Amino acid sequence: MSNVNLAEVLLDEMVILDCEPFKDKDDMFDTMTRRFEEAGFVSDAKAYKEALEYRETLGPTYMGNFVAIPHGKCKEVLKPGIGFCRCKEPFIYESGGESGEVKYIFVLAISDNQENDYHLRVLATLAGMLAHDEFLTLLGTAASYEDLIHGINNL
Amino acid sequence: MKVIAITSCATGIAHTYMAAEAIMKICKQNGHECKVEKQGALGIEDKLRARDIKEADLIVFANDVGITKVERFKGYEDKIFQTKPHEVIKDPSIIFSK
Repeated sequence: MSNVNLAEVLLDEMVILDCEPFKDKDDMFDTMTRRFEEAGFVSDAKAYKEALEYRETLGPTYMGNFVAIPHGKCKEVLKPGIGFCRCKEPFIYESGGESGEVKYIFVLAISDNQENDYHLRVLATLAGMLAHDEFLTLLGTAASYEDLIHGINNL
Repeated sequence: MKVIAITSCATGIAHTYMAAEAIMKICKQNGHECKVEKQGALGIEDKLRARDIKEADLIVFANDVGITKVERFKGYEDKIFQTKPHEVIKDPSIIFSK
C-alpha cells in the first residue's frame, strides 16, 4: 500500500496492546505524552500535552470506528513519531464537541520544523490507511507488535 | 462520473490524508473516476490540472483551512460540494448528497 516504512516511526516502546481502558482523554494524554518523553520523541511531555490539547480546540480528533487520532505539533517534538494504544474495552472520548467510544488511539507527534519530510510522509500514510477496513481489522486482531508491523507491511 | 477533490486541515497531516483516502475509496466503490489534491504539511500534492477541473462532474472541497489557489475553480461554483474533512471521514457518501 505504501513505499514508506511505518516501523521506523511506530516503535515497539510506543505501542501498547490491550491496556485497561483510560478514565478519559486526559488520562490517556498523560500516559502517552509520558511515553513519548521517555522514548526521546519529545523533550517535554507537558508542553507536548498542551500541543495536543490545543489541537483539540480546533476540531474533533474522534474518527468513528473506535478510532481517535489526537496529534500535537510543537517545538518540543524532537523527532516525529506515532504512539498506538489498543484498549481492552472502549472508553468515552470527548473531542471538539463530539464524543464516542474509542478503543484504538494513534497519537501523532509532529515537529515544528518541516525539514523532515520523510517522517511527515509516514504520518500521512498512516492517516490514509485509517480509512481502510483491512487496517482497522488488523488493529483489532494483531497479537503483538511484530504481528502489527508485519500486518501493516503486507497490506 | 469524474470526481475531483481538495482536502486540507489545520495540522496538515491527519485529516487531510484520511479524508483523501476516504473520498478515493468511496469513488472507487461507486465506479467513479477520482483525483484528490492534498494541501497539507508536505505542500500541494497531486495537484489538479486545469483539465481535471474542466472535466469534473463533481468538485469536493473538504477543508478546514483556506484552499490554496482557489481561483482555479472560478466559473465552476455550481459543481462544488463544500464540506469538512472530519465529515467526509465519518461518512464519505455525503459527497454525493449534492
